[in-house]
Amino acid sequence: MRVFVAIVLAVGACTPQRTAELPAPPMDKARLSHDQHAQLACAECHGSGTTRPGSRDHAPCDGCHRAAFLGAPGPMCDVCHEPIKTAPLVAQLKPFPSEDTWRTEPSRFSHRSHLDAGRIEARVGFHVTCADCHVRDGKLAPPDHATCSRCHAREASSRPAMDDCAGCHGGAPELRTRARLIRGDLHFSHDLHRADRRGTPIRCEQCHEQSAAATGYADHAAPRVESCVSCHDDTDRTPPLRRMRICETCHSERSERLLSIAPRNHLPATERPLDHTIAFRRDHADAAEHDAARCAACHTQMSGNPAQACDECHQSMRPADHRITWRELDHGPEAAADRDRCARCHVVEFCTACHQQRPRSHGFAGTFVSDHGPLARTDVRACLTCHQESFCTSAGCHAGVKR
Amino acid sequence: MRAGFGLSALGFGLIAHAAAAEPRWEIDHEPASGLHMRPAARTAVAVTAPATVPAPAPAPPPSPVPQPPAPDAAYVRDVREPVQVRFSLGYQVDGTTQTGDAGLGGKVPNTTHSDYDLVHAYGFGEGYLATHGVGLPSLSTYFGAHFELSQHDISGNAATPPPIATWFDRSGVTYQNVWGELKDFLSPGLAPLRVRAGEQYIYGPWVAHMYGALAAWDGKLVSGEVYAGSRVPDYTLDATSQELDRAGIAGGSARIDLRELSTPIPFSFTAQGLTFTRLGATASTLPASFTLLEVDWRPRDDLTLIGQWRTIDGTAAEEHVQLRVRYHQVTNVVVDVTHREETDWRWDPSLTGSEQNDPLAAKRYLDLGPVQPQVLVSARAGTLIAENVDLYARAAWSQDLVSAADDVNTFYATYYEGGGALEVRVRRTLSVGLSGLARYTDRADQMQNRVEDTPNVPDPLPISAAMGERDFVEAGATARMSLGSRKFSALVEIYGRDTDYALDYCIGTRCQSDSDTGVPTDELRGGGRFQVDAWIGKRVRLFASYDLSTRLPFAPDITGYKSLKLIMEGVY
Repeated sequence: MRVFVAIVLAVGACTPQRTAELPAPPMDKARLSHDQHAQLACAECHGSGTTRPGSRDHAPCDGCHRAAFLGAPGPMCDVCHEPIKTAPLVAQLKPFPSEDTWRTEPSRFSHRSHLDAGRIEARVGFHVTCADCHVRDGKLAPPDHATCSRCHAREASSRPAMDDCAGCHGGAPELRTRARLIRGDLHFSHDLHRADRRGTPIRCEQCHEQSAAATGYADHAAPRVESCVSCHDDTDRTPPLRRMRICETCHSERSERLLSIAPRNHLPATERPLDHTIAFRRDHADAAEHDAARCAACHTQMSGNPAQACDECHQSMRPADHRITWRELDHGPEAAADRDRCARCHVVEFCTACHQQRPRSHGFAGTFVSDHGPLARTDVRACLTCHQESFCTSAGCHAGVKR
Repeated sequence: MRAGFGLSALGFGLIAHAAAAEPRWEIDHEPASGLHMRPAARTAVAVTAPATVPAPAPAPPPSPVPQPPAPDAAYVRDVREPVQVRFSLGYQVDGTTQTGDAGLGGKVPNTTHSDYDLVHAYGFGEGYLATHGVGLPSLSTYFGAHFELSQHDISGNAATPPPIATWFDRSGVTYQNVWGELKDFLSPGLAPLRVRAGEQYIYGPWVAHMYGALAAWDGKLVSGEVYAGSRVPDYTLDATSQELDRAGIAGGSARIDLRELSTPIPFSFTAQGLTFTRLGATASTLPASFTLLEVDWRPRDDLTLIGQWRTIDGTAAEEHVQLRVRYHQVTNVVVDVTHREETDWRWDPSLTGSEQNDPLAAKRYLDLGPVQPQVLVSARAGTLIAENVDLYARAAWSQDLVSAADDVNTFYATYYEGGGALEVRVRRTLSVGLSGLARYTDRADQMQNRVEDTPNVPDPLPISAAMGERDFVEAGATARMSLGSRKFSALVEIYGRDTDYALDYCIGTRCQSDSDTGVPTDELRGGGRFQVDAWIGKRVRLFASYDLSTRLPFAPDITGYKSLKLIMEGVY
């Protein structure tokens, strides 16, 4: 038992981390608190609309914090600057907005709404695609206020207007998990993924399928490795040297350890899915009931009816323990132990169809009545699955049951 | 000093001005080329008169065509094809070889093979045809059948027994499904209505196979169905009249799922009923009705507690509670607790009520004695470690609730069971596995209940509680290579089982081991299985399987079993 536990713990300790959904870094509490500046109107700091507040010789912040700006570098400087060095003077500004950290005034943004072409068209007369916000000058770039202003400028009549700060910002920061698929020793280039081997364009949502449905930060997940597999295991779409089974396609390092073989989410869709564990094979009724279409994609179910279709598999697929010795030797104890299991596929007539037939052991014509004793003594119960006790005690043979 | 810091502050400002990523609120670049404009006419309607924008058209009724498969399976098969066909042709040979030794009865079987066949071969096949939206947009049809073609048909009572017991020695076609279904064929308000007619399976208190019609309402909050027809006589027909097997069936179900309320409540309630006009294969059995009540509590998607209560003719027959827990997609725990009453059916609804005074009842109906009250507890759990190590464990305990030892039926004995399996994927396409299962059955004390063997005299039978296997241990190992679903896979499996049977017959006071009586009580045997499953393109599948067993201690006259199965399948 101890050995087993040790093995389980050792294997568990070697479990590789999944590719995404890591906790976000803690909030940078040194950043400016909008709550502490709530008595000010947005325009008092962001009034120009063009420059970062404080970047013009600390104005307008120096209206209140002038003393701190004129003093020695202290905590106030950390609000906007990286740690300051005075000799020589280096006062690097922190990036704004900061990526992958808690934002003090995160924008409320729904990818799903912005990709709902019908809804957008009904409001502003056109719709946007991913590239309209994420591509600038032919290169990928994070959307900025200018990106939003193309539709949300006041003259564009799309609400909220750009000068309505609270229309996008405000409220408590949303809990967010960092959504990063490319990390560690992974390398990736969007430029190489514009089209596949055949030249067919690769649509953004083919990989960012969950982004397209995201309504906020909390459900904005990273692409899944599974979305890579469908192309990278298809020779028509991917060059042979970029196949999924070649680790260096994505990883800088190759590991030869046993447990570092490709995780199941790296396998093509034609491989057994991740959740099809041994336990799943035994207890899959719930999954089959709620997502029968998924079963039908691979299994024999053909009627297309998501309900009442268990028979389409259970009438044609045989459990693994139904081996060659099952029919004559193994099935009896199992049927006695859990008869409901048999009844999932069989009716009793299936059983009696065999039990009515003379078995091979009875085949010695005319002599079995006198010869059956040694065989019966090995397992009398086997006799009674076809004969009743009265059959044995009738005609003056066996003297009843021992009491 | 202050001036110095002032300069520093000025320096900060200059550096900051240069280094800051300024927020840019002005349009300083052209819109991307992907900015699609919609027709002007629609623009006018939407912008100038937003209040008059017509409400979205009602959603079209759901198509009878199946929903597209999940992304991870979309490349295997397109289930939305309007016509789908699958058929297979197979050939199987079961065989054995005589050892020349005598059987346990002391006789050497006839060398001319007139005692039993050494080879048994038959052809078989399956055919399936499904249509969706062919002829009528709302029409689906499904046909499924199985056929066998045996070398000789035992229905004529002329055949010798096959090498391995089977009922397959019968030529003919067995239809499993032949039905047509209409949905979305009435007004949009009746979109959840579905009507199916033909040979079909019904899922109620029992999975019934019937000829008949079913009307179902597939609503989210409320769903239900009613059906009526006659039972399909599966596998075998009554010896005297085929018509006697066709009991009338009627039933229905209703389900309300409170999770679909605007304020979800995590409960659903289901009531099912089933009535037979006549049971089994004889007209002497009485009509019976079965009901099943179910409560389903699902506070989370990955936690379900189900309680079921089944009755036969208004009397409680079985209570069942099941707990299902799922964690992170790959960890599953299922616990079942089942309590059977003595009023429950034996195997299924075709055999209920009191024992019939028929010495052949066991043979004809698998009547193994009256049902006895029983509790069965089963727990199963499994998880996936490192996405490559698949672990599974199971345990079960069954308690016979009969109080008097003499009343204990060997087929309802108390037992304890434990087992597990491990599968490790050692390479991308190769996995190896181990499995084990052990069961201990609580039998009556062999010394106290022994039957003293009197040579050349028919001995009494042991009491039922003392019969049968006491325990067994089974172990197996597998190696599997797979290039993916519908591509190529191969399986090699070896296994062995050691069974200890009760030692019921003793010579005098000696009853400690089989050496006392010469009757073997320990059976050690094994076997192997080799399978190859290969697809030629996406349409044709070839399957071959070869099974064999070791020698069988209780059948010393043969070398064991062998079986070869070949199947060719087409999917269109």
